[in-house]
Amino acid sequence: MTVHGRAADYLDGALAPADEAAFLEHAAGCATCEADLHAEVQLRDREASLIQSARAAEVIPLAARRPRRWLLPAAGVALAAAAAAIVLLLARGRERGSGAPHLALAASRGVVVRLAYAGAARHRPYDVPRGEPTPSEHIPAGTIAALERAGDCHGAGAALVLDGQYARARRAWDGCRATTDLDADRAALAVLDGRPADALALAARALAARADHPVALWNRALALEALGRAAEAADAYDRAAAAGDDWAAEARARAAAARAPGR
Amino acid sequence: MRAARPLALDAAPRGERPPWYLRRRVGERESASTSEAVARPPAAASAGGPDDGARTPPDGELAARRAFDAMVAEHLPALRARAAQLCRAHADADDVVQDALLRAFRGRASLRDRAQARGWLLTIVTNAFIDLVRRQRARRERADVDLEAAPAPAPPAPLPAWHHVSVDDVRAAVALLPDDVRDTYRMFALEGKDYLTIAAAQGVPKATIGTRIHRARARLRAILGARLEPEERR
Repeated sequence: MTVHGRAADYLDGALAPADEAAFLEHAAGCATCEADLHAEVQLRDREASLIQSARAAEVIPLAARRPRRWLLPAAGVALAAAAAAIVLLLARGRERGSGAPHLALAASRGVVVRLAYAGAARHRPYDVPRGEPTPSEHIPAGTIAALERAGDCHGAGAALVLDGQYARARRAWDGCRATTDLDADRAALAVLDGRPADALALAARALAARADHPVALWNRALALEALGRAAEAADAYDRAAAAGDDWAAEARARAAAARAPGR
Repeated sequence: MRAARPLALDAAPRGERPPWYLRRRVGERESASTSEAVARPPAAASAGGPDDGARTPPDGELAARRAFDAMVAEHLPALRARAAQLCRAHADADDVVQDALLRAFRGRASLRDRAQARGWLLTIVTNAFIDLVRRQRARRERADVDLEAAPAPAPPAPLPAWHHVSVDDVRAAVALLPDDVRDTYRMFALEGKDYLTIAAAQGVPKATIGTRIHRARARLRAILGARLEPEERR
């Protein structure tokens, strides 16, 4: 298979591991592929900015604008109903014993990492559309604001991670009381942020407190993979699978993939 | 395992210490970069240990560092995310970003318009990654040759100056896309819709949306790239 002209596929992760290595080997000596790589990186950066502004524009007016005097009273009723629904959801989340407000999540997850925060901890199959600039799923700004208002900085950060707002998530968690779960989640953010060494240190801190912490093990495995340490990653996935929870099947599959020849 | 950097990089008070990307880690050598901007330091400086940048710099340099650091802080998450996307499991994104920021700091005079800082930094991140891949390849090819004594590779060809392309340029170029991909890309990039929403709205499978966006990007690269002058690499 020819790898010439596959810069976009490389960035999308659409090449098989052997083809990825072949593409890099080729691109290091091919001016066209090198130029394509530059162009794709730059284009996706501007694209990410456009998407971010479009999504921000969707939610900011609702939060920022005061209702105009001539708006139908029905709008007020609808807003009150929506607010009541959020309060209800928050209350229901707490009633379930999770201790965390409820995050309405999609059926599949957009980030490869795993979060310990109770509202985002359940397993969902990983499904990232090809070429999405930032792996994320859309979390309504209102939900994030509700978590912030409720003083749930761990939850607000988790929602921001899922929404792809990594810098804001970091700031939210910087002000949080340190816990083992938070360390495990900060490791997840470090993985997404391209800081695998930091992720390893954070996961290690969580694992020092609880050696079988499945989320810390999962995110440690991802960090190890990012560092090219596939065998150690496979072991960490195995240990995460040993928890026997609903993430175990994916953990076993990831361990097998990490051990697959040709990596 | 290599020693990890401080965990709260962005929150750490910097004081008079140089920012982390201007320091070297314990046991780390200056990278054998092909860039002229990263000329090998004199032997005395190399022997200065991991924190040789901590010597008291003149006031002017300190101010320059602070200004540069503020610029870096603004764009660091984007740089890290792109570096991680470029590196995958083939290289360490942290090392690529650090190498790039060191080059950028040394070549900061060539950034003429601060509004283009992000694109300019991304170019350097991409160059740092490609140079790392080249070094790894050279190491494999000449495993038994003394790398330090090996001649430097020929300077690479100039590249189109993509940092001149603004978000508004991309927005404008969307109108020039062919009919079959324009609406899909508009919904994706200009309206911020995800693949599933676009697929439902257009009544096509999600995979088709991926293919259309792929083709739209290739076309945008051609449209925008055609307007750019080649520029020397950093």
